[in-house]
Amino acid sequence: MLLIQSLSYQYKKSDGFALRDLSLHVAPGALFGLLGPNGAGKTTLLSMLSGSLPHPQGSIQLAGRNINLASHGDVSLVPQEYAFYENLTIRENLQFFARIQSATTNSVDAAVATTGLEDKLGYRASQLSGGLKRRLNLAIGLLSRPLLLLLDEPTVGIDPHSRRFLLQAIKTINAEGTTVVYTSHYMEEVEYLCDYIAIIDRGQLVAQGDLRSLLEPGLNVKTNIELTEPLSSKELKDLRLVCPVEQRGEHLICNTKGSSADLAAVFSMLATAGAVVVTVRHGVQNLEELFLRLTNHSLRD
Amino acid sequence: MPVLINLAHKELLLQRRDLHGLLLLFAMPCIFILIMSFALSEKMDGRASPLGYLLADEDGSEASASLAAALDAQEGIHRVASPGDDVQSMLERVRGDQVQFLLLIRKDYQQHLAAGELALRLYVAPGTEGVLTQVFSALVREQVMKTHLDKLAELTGGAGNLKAISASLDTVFKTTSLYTTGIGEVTPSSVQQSVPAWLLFAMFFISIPLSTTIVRERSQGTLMRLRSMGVSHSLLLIGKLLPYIMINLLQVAAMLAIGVYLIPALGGGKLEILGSLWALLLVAMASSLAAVSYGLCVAQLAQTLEQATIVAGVFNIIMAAVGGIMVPRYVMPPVMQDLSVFSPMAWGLDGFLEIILRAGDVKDVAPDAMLLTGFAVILLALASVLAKQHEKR
Repeated sequence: MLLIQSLSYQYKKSDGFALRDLSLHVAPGALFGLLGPNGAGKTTLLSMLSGSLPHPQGSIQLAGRNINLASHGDVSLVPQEYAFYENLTIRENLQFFARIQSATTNSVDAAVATTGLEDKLGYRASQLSGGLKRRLNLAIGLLSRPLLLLLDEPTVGIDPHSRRFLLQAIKTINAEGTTVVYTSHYMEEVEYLCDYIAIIDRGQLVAQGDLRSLLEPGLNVKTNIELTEPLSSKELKDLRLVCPVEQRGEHLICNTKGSSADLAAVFSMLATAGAVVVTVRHGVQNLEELFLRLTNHSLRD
Repeated sequence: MPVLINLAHKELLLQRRDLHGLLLLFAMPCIFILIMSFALSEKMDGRASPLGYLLADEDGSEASASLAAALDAQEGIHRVASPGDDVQSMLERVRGDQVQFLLLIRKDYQQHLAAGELALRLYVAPGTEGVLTQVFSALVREQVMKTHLDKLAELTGGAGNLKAISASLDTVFKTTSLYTTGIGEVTPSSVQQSVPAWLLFAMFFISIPLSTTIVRERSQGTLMRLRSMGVSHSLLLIGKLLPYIMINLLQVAAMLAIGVYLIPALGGGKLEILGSLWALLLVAMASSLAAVSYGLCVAQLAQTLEQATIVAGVFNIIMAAVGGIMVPRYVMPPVMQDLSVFSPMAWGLDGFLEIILRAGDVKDVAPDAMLLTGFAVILLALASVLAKQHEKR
């Protein structure tokens, strides 16, 4: 469906590359999660995929055609900003963007139905809540009935109900055959939605694969034990005699390598120290942990 | 009290770091004061004359020469050299507002004076303010009285009767405005002179809503979205040009209607559009193209709404001050007058005045329209290049 090969880009007046030799493959019908810290190059990549930024180095092919030659309606970008006109009503915004792309009235109706905006068509965009604005932003992206839908952090700043509605709508859109590239900083959303994930950092690919294989522990099995309070340094030192342990706040990350003997010893030590265990998670890492590990934890901005 | 001090301190800190606000508060008035002070310096200081005049001496007598010499010595006015010009070419210069006045000393000047007949005629340029005409007339009358008191006294029965002498001057000295198609006796109202100037000023202010709209579109991602939908840069620019030119033309229609209908209804003078309506449309279109292109260019240079508002507003005021919108160019010192030829508002104003004061047609306003269009084309090209660069930043 989407094949990106050796893509590089450097902005003017910038020392480093926004993208460096990036190659990705997105299968047809996939709901593809694109993750990366701020400044990783996600928005640059989406701009290139949408055709609004040229790509002088590397190639991007959509369904076998160079992205520049593909029809603009085949790819649709939903930017993270509210990219519509605040002083126009929902209906006027949809009609304007539909006419720009020569989309039909049916497309407008379908976009309205998917995003649940039927009752709000006469409202000015400036009067809408954050959730409704996000839905309008998405609806505009659906007008051309694209093959590839690019969603750049589409749930920022909205309440849980609106988020749930949007995520469900995105699943529906994907189930109807649209390939989706989804970027977000909300890892639980990506875990919930996406079946295939790529993590980029400083313009380069650092990991990609389906969610299960990425979170597969392999030989590096860890146990995350949450306590009511952190261990003292002496207690931590004693615990490290049993297995490698890292303490992050109230969390102990124990590298038990899947050994039940090691686990038993850890809990025995904790009982001796009088520690109170709140939660235990063993065997799998979540996406956030993987993301932080791969992108080196440090603050980026 | 500490809370109040803290609040006040915070405000001062915010203002100090708001560069654009500071520019608006301090830089703009400073620039404005400088321009206006220079523009009006000679008029206010009386160092040199803002009132230029041509002199046509048809009489060539000793009497006419003594009047000419007296006028030459008069402070506050200055004779503009016109070697070899005949009366007709001098009239054309005045009709074209190149010089404010032409004083014609008629043949047999002294005899006319003695007979109480028309001896002197003052032709006034269409764009000259009424008050300046009054000042110049008073100076001429004063010099005529001084140099030919004996003749006027003979006419009125004695040098002591100053009231009668002054009244006799009304018959020997006439003032005529050249603002109509021919030589008429009507003087242009203030409406004729002010409406074109403020109309043009208002038209250029379209650069503020236009540039802020584009900056907002860019910051909200709407431009990026439109680009991703396959809308080209040129289409985006043309898509802005057309509606804003329409708005400009509506402004022109509304402001002319105010001059033609509303002001007379309220007891003021009526705006008479003497020239061709096609010429009016041409100047309005060219001025609008220049104003909208200027707005498009500002939008590409500005990064924020504040920058767009301030840059567009400040340069509008500078262009207006230099271009003769706020004070007529002929009262400015020569350096300022030379500078004014670089202001698009001066070109637009010349075009409108050509139509409204001098009954100009398309041919007359074509040079101004071409200058405005050339300015617009350059700015459009610049805006287009800058828009493409924005995308790559």
